[in-house]
Amino acid sequence: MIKLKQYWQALQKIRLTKDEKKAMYQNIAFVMAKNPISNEPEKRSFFGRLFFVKRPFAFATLIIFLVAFSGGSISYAATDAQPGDLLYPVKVNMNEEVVSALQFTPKGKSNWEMERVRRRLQEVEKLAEEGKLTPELEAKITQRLETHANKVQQFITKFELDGDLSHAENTTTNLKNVFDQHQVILEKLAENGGPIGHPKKPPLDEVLKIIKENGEKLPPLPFKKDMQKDDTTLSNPPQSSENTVGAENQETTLSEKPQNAQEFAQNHLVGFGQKVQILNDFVAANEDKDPAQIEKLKSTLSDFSDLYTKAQEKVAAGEYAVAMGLFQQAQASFKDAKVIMQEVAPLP
Amino acid sequence: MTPKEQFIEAYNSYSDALFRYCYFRVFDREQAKELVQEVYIRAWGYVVRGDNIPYMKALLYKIASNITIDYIKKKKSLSLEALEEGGFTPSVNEKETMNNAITVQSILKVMDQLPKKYRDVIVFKYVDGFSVKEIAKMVSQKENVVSIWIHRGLKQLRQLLGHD
Repeated sequence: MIKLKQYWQALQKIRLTKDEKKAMYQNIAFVMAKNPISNEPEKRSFFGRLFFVKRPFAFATLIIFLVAFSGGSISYAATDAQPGDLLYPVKVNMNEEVVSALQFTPKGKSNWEMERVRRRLQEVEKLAEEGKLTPELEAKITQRLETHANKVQQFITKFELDGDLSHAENTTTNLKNVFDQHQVILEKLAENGGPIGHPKKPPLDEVLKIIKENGEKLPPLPFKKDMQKDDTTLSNPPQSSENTVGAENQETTLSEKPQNAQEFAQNHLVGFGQKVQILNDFVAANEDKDPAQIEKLKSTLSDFSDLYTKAQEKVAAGEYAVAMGLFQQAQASFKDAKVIMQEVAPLP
Repeated sequence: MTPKEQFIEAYNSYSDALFRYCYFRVFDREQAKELVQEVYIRAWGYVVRGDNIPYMKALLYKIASNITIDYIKKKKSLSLEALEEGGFTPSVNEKETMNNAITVQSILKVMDQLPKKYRDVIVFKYVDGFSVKEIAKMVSQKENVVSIWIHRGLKQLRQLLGHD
């Protein structure tokens, strides 16, 4: 008769193989790289801390109760309050928090946070136009703006993790549009200054910086439907040994999954080829423009062509990880080249 | 240790055990792998959100429990017999001997007949090597309740195996 101990030993043999564990980690690491931990700890409002935001229903009920008994007059009066006004804290910490607590779905919450981003930007613009924006007010609004923008980004991550890619994509697009629209207005205000006769230019550097930083943090569009296909590009396996993940280099892992990696590398190669073509055409069409800039572009094109040839060789040899490294280098230099191209002649 | 390092540590420490946990419920190796991956991706979502996670292991098992239940609800027809007919392969290591494969298959069949709560705690205790205290946290029960479940589960298992 087999003893129970032998059964346990047999069951313990059911485990992930070393390769499976590593491949799975690659997929998880891709998601981790795409959705990094924010360095900023989440800041809770005074009311949020007081009433434990984790219990939004209780919080909302209490606020509604208070507002109802105070006749709602303060709350109503605060609706149009601007930063610096006495009732502005009521507007952002009470009115807006109530609306926030009454959003019961992640989609509703993300839309509301988006609206708050828009409101903060409109407030900055209004104050700048009226010449009332001080560095202190800018800092306060910027802080709130960043909090709301971070929340929207967190919802994008959530939608993505939940597989709701269409909503993740819509939210990303909307946030990007909000940033783009207001960036144009704010840049004009920063350049032209406030009202006529107001000597000082409004302090808008911080707001513009936040817009730029948050815009850069947004995930690239469109979202990939199948994350496993490009699971290897951003992975960052830990250093460990034996049956833990990350014991081998990326190249080994990629060669163990030839179909995905090959397809992925070949897709990149096509894109790479297109970029070489774009650069080539641009240089040919703008040879008469700024010689120094054109010279820089020619140099980039030469490096780029070398990288392309190398990447082609590596893909043909099945060394996809090395090819991926070359693609990343090429991507970085193309980004620089695009800046120069914009300076030489506006891109279509 | 940063949250990211803790998370990676949790992957190295618990992925095999979580795989077994899922595997004993879905009896499909590929599906179990998918589920484990999903567990870690969801857990990472919590880490990113900055949620307070005092006990990562408990969170991982909670997520694993939820997603396997969801999966099983979707695939109601799942049973060991059906899987066997469709080419069920309980062996993990391809080099595993036939004897081992038969042992694993037979124990899985018997385990499948145990009530879920007994099967869970027995696997945690004897296969994954968790202490009663740890299991209690993972299944959100008191330690003495877990001990009783283990005792009763073993008793039933012996009966099913004819070890009385």
